[in-house]
Amino acid sequence: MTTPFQKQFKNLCMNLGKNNKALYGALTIAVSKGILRPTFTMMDKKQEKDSRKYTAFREGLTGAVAFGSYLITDAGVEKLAKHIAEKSNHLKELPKMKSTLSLITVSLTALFVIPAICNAATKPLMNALLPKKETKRIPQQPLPRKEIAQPNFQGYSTPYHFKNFYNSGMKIGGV
Amino acid sequence: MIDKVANVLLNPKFVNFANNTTYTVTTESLFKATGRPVAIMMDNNVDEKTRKYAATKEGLYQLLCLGIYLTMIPFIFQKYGFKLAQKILKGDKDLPAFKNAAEYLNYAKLAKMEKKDRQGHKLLSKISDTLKISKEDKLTLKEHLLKDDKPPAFPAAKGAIELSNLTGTVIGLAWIASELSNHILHPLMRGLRFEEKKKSNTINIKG
Repeated sequence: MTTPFQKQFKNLCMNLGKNNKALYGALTIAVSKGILRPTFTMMDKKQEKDSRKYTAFREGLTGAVAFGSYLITDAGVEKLAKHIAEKSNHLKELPKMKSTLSLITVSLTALFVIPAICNAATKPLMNALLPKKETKRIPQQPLPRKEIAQPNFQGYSTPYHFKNFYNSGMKIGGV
Repeated sequence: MIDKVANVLLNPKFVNFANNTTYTVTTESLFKATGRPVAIMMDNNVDEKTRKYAATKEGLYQLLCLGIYLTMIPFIFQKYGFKLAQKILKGDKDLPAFKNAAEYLNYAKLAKMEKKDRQGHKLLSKISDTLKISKEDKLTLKEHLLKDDKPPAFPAAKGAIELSNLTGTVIGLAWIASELSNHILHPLMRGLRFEEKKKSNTINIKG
């Protein structure tokens, strides 16, 4: 007797066993890392808050860009593989061709496409989506100077002999 | 030209490589470990010191991911995932009672070979002598390998391994790697003098 769960589980295993694509692994990683990595980054108290925000944003964006890029390139792979299979008379081996082409495109997407999109999009998106930290403008005023109390010599100027005590007078020993 | 491309794409070793989740994730991780740090270094919106820090951290993170993936997937997820799938599909002809995932993988390697190449192959000794698809089957799986041109392939067994790999990918790479990286990468970055003790790092985005 098979339960609906067993039936579904078997279908899933059969499909993965017959036609496993590099795309599935890449999509799984993109989704899970896109959600969990920013969460853990925001929990890392060893980094400053702004730094955490930037890193988490870039990680989340990478996950989203990766997911979209993999799907788009995979659609291209389908067409390209079909074209090559038709031209080279290998239509029967189309699924095999798709899986190898899928690996090539997933790797190239991870190497060039995703980092390039992230470099171009991180700063503008961060500026648009995250509220800017408002810095209080300090008015341009001279720094307050501490008033130093002057000794009152009651009409007399600063006694000269105190100022030059060590530099004047008779020297003993002739040195 | 197009025939040459088709021959490369249909090379049996390449097809086998592309159909294996472990190999594809490893390839992707290696590309990420090189491509992402290079891209970060090229990001002119961030100052050079921060770029160096972020690129080194990203490269180390991807290598950590690869290490976790290569050690945890075959020894934990594949092993126990296959056992769990056997329990769920107990008695199903599409997933016979292989001793473990390794025994199935050896069987699958032999089943893909030409019949003449299977005779006397060293992997044959790793297949159980008594294992059958079901009680009704007259031949054991070993006899199928020796007598059939195309022995049964058991895609459900392969799928169970791939599903375990995918589950391991989520748990290992997204969860455990992220958690571990917080504990491992900071001391490593300190060792490489990118971080100072008790001093947080700031990322300075150019205005």
